[in-house]
Amino acid sequence: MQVFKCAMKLVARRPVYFLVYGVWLSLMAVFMASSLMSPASTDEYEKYQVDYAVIDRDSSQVSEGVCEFLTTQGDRIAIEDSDFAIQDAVAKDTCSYLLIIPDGYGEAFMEAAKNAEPLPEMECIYSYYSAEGALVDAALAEYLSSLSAYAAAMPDKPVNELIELAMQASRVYADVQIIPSETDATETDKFMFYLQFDMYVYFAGIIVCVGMMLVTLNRAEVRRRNLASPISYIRYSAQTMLACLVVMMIFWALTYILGAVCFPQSFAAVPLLGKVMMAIVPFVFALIPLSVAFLMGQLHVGETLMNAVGNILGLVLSFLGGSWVPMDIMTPEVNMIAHFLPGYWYTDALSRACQLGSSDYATLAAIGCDIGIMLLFAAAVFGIALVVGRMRTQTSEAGGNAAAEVVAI
Amino acid sequence: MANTFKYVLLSLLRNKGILVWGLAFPIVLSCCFMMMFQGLDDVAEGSTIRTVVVEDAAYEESVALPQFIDAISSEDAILDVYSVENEQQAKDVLNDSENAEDPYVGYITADSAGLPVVHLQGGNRSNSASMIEVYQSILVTLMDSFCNKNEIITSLMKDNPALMSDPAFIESLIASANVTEKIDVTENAPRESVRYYFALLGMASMFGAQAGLVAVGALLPNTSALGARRALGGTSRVRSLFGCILASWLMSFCCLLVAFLFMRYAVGVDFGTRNLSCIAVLAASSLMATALGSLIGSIPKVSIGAKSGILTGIVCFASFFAGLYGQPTMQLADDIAVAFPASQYINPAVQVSQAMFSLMYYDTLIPCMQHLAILAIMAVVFFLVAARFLGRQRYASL
Repeated sequence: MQVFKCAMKLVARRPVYFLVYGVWLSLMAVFMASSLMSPASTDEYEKYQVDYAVIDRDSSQVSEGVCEFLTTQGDRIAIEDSDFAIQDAVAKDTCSYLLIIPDGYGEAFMEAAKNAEPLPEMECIYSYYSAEGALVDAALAEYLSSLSAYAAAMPDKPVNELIELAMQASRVYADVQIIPSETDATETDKFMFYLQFDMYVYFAGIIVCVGMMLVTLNRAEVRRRNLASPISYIRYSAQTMLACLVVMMIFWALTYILGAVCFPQSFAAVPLLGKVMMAIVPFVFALIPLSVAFLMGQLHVGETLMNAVGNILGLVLSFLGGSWVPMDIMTPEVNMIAHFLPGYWYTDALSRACQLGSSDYATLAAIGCDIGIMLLFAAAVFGIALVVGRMRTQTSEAGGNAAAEVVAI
Repeated sequence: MANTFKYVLLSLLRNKGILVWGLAFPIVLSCCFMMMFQGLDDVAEGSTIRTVVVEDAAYEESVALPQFIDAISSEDAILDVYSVENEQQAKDVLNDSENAEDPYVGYITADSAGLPVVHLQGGNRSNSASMIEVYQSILVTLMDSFCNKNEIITSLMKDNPALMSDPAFIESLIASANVTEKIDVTENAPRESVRYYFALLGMASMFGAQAGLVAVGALLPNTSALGARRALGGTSRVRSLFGCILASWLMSFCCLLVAFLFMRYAVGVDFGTRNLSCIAVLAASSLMATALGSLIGSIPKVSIGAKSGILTGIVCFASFFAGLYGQPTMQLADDIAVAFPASQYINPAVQVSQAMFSLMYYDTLIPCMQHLAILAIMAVVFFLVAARFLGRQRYASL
């Protein structure tokens, strides 16, 4: 096992890559998954809460009533009344809805309401998500409509009593019932998200660590020496492949155990068969970056380029695989493209596996299909790598037949 | 120095790894973002709320609910209504659309009193970026408004029945009040997707440090035969170093500029109208990156490979807090920025993305100048530490 030991030493000689891509990125995945919200309760309706801000330049009873009503819509964020502060709040999405109540608004509102004239308008600003702003705006319009109706019907009543009546009316709610869904948020989400994030860890880490080891072993002089040694070519290749597999398994085991340790509740919530499949799926997926690393090794890619390829592939596949941005917000075209990349099948298999029951054969078959596709990706890249390797060994640089011809001439 | 500059620049141009990091990386990811984030902006912009209405006997007998639903689902209205005859059909429509791009958010029935009952589709809402939860709340708010009006009419009929015979009053009550005017206060409309491009520029500019790392690393006499030969050459160390830094900076700046132009014109990202200021930000960013690369490249007794790994680790870490790695990280980065504002001042990737951000959204250049000043201070600090490393080394000494 001298070749195997030597290959492992080559990997150990660059601990920084294992620390950065294996440990550091996995810890970032843990940090990221830890920040996920707890599953939303789907048994009863909870109104969506919006962060909003109010700049009250009026300070009348009506404007204070508006402020009081808006407390039912979410959390109020304090924003200074200056152009820069308002721009800053909107641009940084500090609040999703910003309302500016102009000076004299209360007086103008009551006058318009009592005279059945169009109500005066306030200025509002939506941040990134228009729907969130529209939600608060719709509720506010309804509240002021009620206040206006009461003011028109009871013009002699004091403003504070009209506001109280409008507030009472706004507390009358429609009956809401929730339809249970099979895709309810569960405790397993954190562990699943963590494993999905690890797609980047596998690609960047395995490609760089294994790729650099193979590049070193495939250097022309080293290769010539090894080919001239008493060890057979098959044993030499087998030991090299074993070293590659062991490095891959170190990444796989590290990420899986780290996830199980850091998210014990989430891990425990996964059914036993799901746990097994959630171990098998990353293992199979990790074979793809291993194949890519093998290809990079055959191509004699340099260290900087190896890092770049690992990172770019990791980032692109993580984004297009639905690991970091949900697939449901992507366009159908992007969804279609994602089907041709392994990341999609990886996230699909994981999301199925985390809810896998012992007798759920249909889901098991679907996961099997995902695994099969991932194996095909790995086999395809590995096949290309073998061809590239074969062609390269025949070049003069690598000491192949071309080199012999050069000497003969 | 001119020769050093020329040949370092040539060697950097011939280095595939640097070209991939500096050019291919931002261009490939820009193309990836371009495909992905169209959907994100569509989600942010909002759309009509798809709802199913069960038009059974109770619904038909309701006094005002059908008219109310018609009013809020007419042309250009907020609701997109699909009518069915019974609840089972409504549930089937909901289930069929659950995984669709634009699913139905729920269905409405009428109770025996003629009031609406909203049935909402449950589901995994904790991690989804879709706005279904907001749409469901808007639907409920609209139905709440029907109940509110019903409550007002009931209470007013008790106190002032004559008022109910006034058609103008009834009309004003039913009509939806227009109480706000939507305005824009930023230089450009806020868009979620652009934040990813800013974060990408932050990461790309930091990876430009590879040029500085390679150039300064090759200057060290104990890392390569070339370094040893240059140490014995006639050109002074300061002049060699200055030439290396200048070439590295030019290389990373040009790569960043090409990436920026690609994003702007090929991908079609709207960075606002301040193109020259954007280029100034890129120049400052690449200077900071060159300084960072010089610093890491000058670390003694560490191989070039290990230095490259250290740089990658730093860039990944910094980009993580700039929110590059998807929506959850963007949210986390925002939360951390609010909780620990100081963390932004020491993160170069955040400073680059914030500088671009400030150019796009603020009508004053002061915030951008502040970010540029921070980047300049970072560059000076990195260069000073690098100079300290480079000036205190002994090679092959006893």
